[in-house]
Order: sequence, then structure tokens, then C-alpha cells
Amino acid sequence: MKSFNELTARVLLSMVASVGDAQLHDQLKLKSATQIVRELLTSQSTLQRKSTYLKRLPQDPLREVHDALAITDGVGARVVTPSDPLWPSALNDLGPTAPYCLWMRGPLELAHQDSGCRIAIVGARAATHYGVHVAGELAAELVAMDCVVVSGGAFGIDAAAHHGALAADGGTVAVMAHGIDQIYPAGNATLLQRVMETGVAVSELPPGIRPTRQGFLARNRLIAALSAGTVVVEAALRSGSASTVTRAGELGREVMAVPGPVTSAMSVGTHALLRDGATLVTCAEHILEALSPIQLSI
Amino acid sequence: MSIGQTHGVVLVGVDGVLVNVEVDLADGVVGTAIVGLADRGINEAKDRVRSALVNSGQRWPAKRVTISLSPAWIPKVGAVTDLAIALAMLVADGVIPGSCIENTVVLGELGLDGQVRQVRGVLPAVLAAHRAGIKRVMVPIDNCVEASLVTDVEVIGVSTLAHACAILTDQQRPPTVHPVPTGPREFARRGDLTEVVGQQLGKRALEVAAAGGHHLFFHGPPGAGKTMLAERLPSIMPALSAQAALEITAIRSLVEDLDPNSPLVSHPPFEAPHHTMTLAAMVGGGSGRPQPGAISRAHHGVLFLDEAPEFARSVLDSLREPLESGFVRVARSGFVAQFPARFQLVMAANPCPCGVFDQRALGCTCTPTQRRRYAQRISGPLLDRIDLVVQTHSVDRFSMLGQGQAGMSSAQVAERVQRAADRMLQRFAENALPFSSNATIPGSALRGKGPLAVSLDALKWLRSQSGASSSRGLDKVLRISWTLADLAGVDRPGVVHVQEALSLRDEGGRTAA
Repeated sequence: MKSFNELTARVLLSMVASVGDAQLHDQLKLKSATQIVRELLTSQSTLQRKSTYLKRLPQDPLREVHDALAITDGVGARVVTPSDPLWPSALNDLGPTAPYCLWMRGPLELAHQDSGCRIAIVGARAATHYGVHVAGELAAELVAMDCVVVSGGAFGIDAAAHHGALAADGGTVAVMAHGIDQIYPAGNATLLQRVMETGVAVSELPPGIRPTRQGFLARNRLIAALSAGTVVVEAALRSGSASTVTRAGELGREVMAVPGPVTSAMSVGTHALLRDGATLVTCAEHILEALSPIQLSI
Repeated sequence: MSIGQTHGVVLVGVDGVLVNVEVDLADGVVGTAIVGLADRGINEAKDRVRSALVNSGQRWPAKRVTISLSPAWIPKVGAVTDLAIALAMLVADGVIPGSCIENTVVLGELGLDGQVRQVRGVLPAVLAAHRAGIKRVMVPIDNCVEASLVTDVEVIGVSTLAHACAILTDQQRPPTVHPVPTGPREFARRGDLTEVVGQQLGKRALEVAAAGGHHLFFHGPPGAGKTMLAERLPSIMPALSAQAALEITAIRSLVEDLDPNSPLVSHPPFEAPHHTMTLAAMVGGGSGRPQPGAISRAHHGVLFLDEAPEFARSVLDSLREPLESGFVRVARSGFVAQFPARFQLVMAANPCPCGVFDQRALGCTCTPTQRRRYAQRISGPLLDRIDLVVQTHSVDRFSMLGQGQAGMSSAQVAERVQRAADRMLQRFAENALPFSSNATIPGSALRGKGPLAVSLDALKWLRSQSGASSSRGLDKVLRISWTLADLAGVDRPGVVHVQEALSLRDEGGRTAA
């Protein structure tokens, strides 16, 4: 019987283990993923959550992992682990909530600094024309200054940011909250295809996983970690962007917001951020000015 | 053989077709037959006509009566041919000579006592008769002012069947028809602009819409005054031409009983259909004779769609063709009815389905997806035909307390609009351009070097604006600029006009689809 290696073990962990299992992360520092999986399969594991993980375990774990890798190959994606030279080191800042492995689909490399400073542009799905316009312009200006635009591939601001970057022939990263073989939302299919042709789509979830509410929140931490700073263009009072900027702040990334009309409900969230100390930005120069040397090296 | 013949008119849309009404009295089994695609209403005519004749002192001959309405291919509807059938019967029976009713179109419904009752659609019917070369019409007395709106046609108003016979046999003179009062412009309107507090931008957009014929879209929360503004658009629109007033009246005449004394509709109509309306109610239709829809009732006036995204998608998209062509065709088996529909479109939309999405968003229960879907309900092709897009905000306290500048009255604005419209039409006439308003100028004429090119400075300034990137959006800004120049009384739009035009295409605060 073939056994697990580092890659297949981490793929299995991403299938069964919870995001942010601190104990598992501690063990990963001491032992190889292969060993942890072997312990799990032979009931020697000391993990507190092992029973949960065993319940999630597929019938034939190795075969399931190989199927997942076949699907990954099929869509032209690849899996990278922290030991891989292609692994974006910025994700290590997540500590115990770092992903076990990462699926990447597209030619853009995120490991090296020479791919450019990454800036996240996020915001409302039901954005106004103002927000869409500003997000698109910001993204285009940023890539013209050799930055890479990171966003979540959703409708509204996210889509505008990807569009803006692509329109200026720049690099862009779509961080997905579902398996790399899925396209979501379907309305953005053409856009996401284009992102994967010149930029890259990334996900920490194995193929086949559908987007869930929890998945979106977990995904937001990857957007925050991958980027030197996060710019919120439009957000209502309650907004998913809030979780992204909270994580960005915790990770020492710059939190920035674009103001809007005070009469606009879609700018209430950004104005609240500004009052809480986010940096006010209106153009790409403002964004790069706001970044510290450390942030620039992320 | 004894045959009596008269003429009537059957309406197809707002066009009419001359019909021959023939009555043949033959020997044979006593009975009555009506031939020629008659509907129930006409089949009942034999009973009404029989009673009316008998109660007017005439007789219903004890013969085999055949009533024929030709051409036979058009379905004939309603009671409007009653009087024509009765008179044809009298001719056939030898009571009145056939010569006295030649070249005359007869319209009217009969009561059982011989009364001639008011009918609908008299104006389009008389217009059709006039086009067919008819010089004399006989109509119910309550319709005779309406009929006399058509010049060059002698109108005989009759009150009873006996009255009609007396006039035709020269025993009585026809009543004189009082000419239609064509006095000063009528101001019996829905409210005045002075009643709208604040909303300077909204009022300006109305003025521009009225002067240049631009379609208009108001975005804003409920209670911001979108409906109030839209209702006042007819009050500032340019005066209707005599032809336009006649067209409007002809459509009105199909759907309602006009005022017998002053039937002419001399102000632009305002139609505000509810968002639950059906496709047939919007474009016209219905069983039997197709009736004009809301877009035709708004001909030469305003069609206001409040809460536009709530309308059925098919209903909204049905507006696209009429917006382009100015008319609508309703097809029925055997014939197509055409109605004019050159209306000015004003749409209003709330920020979200529940309407309360504002800065605090406290009461709003809509999800982002719902809000996006709401914004997507109005299709791109329809939005393409709308030049002016304006955000309305709730009235600010400054204006509410009456501290703001007192606004202009509708009459004052209407005067400015009239001058601008005259200027626009003069420009089209001088340059032999086939356009009816600034809103209908195609993009190629605006961007070229011709008489409608804007100043170079203005174009340069506009190109420097990143917001006006799409060429379609650019055309719209240029069209609005022309109207602004007309309102300002200058020959060619300059930078100031282009700048203001951009502010009248404020899509910024609208949810992007």
C-alpha cells in the first residue's frame, strides 16, 4: 500500500482539520504532516479534536486525496505546501490559522517579492456606480505602479478591482472561498477565467467544496494576510469587509478606506473605519504612501 | 328590390375604415339577419333599431331583412352603427330618399326610445372619414363639438332618430355647432413647481427634460419627492401643436367620454400606471377592438413609472420599441391596429426593494444580493434610452424651513422651456436636420464636424474626465449639453454646459447592476 507524503498528508489535513487548530499547528512545527496523518489513521493521535477529524475522514483517505489531486491537475491548478518554494511566505504571519496547503490556479507567482507589492481592494457586493468606478480606477492605478491587486472575486467592488487590474494588463489575485475547480459566483465566470489566465486564483479548500458563510469569513483572513494593506472602497454598516480589515489590523497590515458621500448608505462602513483610524486614501499614491517599509516587504 | 345604403366607420386602432351599411328588404320568410363579421353588440343592434324605429313613429317592415356591413373582413364592434342601420332601413323602406344621405358618414348608438346616444371614438372616425373624402358626418349631438375639431367636414348633430329624419328631409335645420374654444393655453394642471420644496437638481432635470425631450430617471428614497416632481413635468412642457392636440384627443376619445362642450385635450397627458399592470395594459390590446395602452394614452405627454424595478421585466422591455419608433402595433388575427406612442418616459426607483436603505440602514431588511437584483431589473437597452439620471435626497431641513430660495413657478419655467424648444426646432429647420428633439440626435451627428458638434474646448474637457469614458455615455452628455445651451440661449454648448450635463447624469449613488 502506498503511503502518505508531505503533500498528500497536508491535502488530507485540509479536508478534515479545522481552520485555526492551534494544537495541530504546534505539532506541525515538531513533526511532519505525514507522521501526524499516520498517527491519526492508526488512532495514536494525541490531538484533542481527533474524534471530529476521524468522523470527517473519507472511507479511503489516500484514494480521496489522489482524486482531489487529479481534479486539481485537470483544471490546471497546483497544490503548494509551506515547504514549497512557491509558498507565499506572507501566509506564515497567520500563525496558528495558516492554511495547511494552498491551491493555486494561474500563472502569477506569489512567492517572490519581484511579483510586486500586493494590495487588497475589497468592499460591498451591492456597490454603487461610484464604488465600482473608484475600485476599478484604484486597481488600474495600482498595477500601473507594479502592484498586484488582491480581492475575493465577488460581485460589486471585488469584481471592479479585478476588472481594473486586468484592464491595465496587471496582475491580480482572486482568493476563493470554495474549491479551486469551482466557479463562484457564476455571474463572474468570464472575469474569473480571465483572472486565472494572467493572474492567479487561490484557495485553501480542496476541490469540490462549495462556498459557505463560514468559508467566506475564513477566506477573508487569507486576503488580509496575502496583502501589504487592505483598502475598503464601499461598505454598508454591516459588511463582510469588516472581518477582512480586522484580520489585516491584527496582522500588522495597513487598513485603508475610501470616503464616499455622507448621504450614501454604501459608505457608512468606510466612514466608520476612517473614524476608527483607518488611513484615508483616494488614489494609488495615497496607498503606497501609507505603507511602511516593513509592510512594503510583505 | 329595395336596398338602402349608408356609411359608417369602424375603428382599427386610431385609424378608421369606411364601412357600407346596406339593408335589403326582400319577400320571403319574415326575419332579420346581420352579415359581415358583426360582434354581439352589433347583433343586438337589430333589437335596438327595431324598438327605436317603432318608438319614433316608423315601422319595422314585415319582410325578410338582411343587414350587411362591408368590407366583411374587419370585425365590427359595438353599437356605433345603430343609427346608420336605422337610416339605411328607412331608405330601403322608402321613408327618406337615398340621395339625401349620400356621401355622409353616420355614427351613433340608439336608445329604445329613438334617442341618439354619445359614442366613443368619434374624432378618429371623423378623421378617417375626412381622409376617405367624406364631406358630411352625422353624429350624436353630444359628440358634435368633438367631430367639428376636424376642419372641412360638415357636422350634423342629432338628438333623436326622428330629429335625424327631419333634418335629412329638410323639415328641420341642423343645429349650429359652436366652434371649439381655442383660447389661451390651458393651465388646469397637476400642481405647480413652486409647491416642490428644495430639490433644485430635480427641478433642473425636469426643465432640461421638458426642453430637449430627454427621458429621465429619478433615484432616491421614498418621500424624497420623485412623484411630486414627475407630476409637474406636463406643466412646463412646450405648448402642444394643433396636430398633437388632435392626436391626443383622438386617443382620449377611444377610452373615455369627452366633455361634450370642450372635448379638445390641449395639455400634455400624464399617465402613471401601477407597477402591477399587464403587458396589454401598457402597450394596448384587450379582447375585441384593441384599446390603446398607457404608452398611447401618454402620447405627446409623460409616462411615469414609479418604482420602475417592480414592473414586470416584459412590460418594461415592451417600451423599447415604441421609445424608438414613436408608435406601437397590436396584432390581431386578420388585422393590425397601430397606436401612436411618442411619450416622454420618467422612471423612479427606490434604493432597495424595501425602500428604507439609507445611511443608517437600520430598518432595511434587504440583502446585498436583493439590492443588486433590484438594480438589475431595468435592462441595459432600456437604460440606454434614458439621458438624464438624477439622485433625489430627502428634503433638507434648510429648504423645509422655508429658508431656501423660493423656486420658480411652472409658468416661468414653461416660458424658458418654450424659448429653448423653439430655438432647438429652429436649429433643426435651418440645417435641414430630420430630428424632433435634442434627445433623438444620433451620436454620429454629435461627435462629427457638422452643425451639431459641440465646441472643441468642451469636448477636450469632457475627454479629460475619467468618468465619461464610454462613448454612449459621452453622447448622452453631449445631447444634454445641447439642451442646456438652448436653455441658456447660446449657439453652441461650451465647457459650462458640458460640466452641468455631467452632473445631470449622476449614476454614482445608484446600485451598480
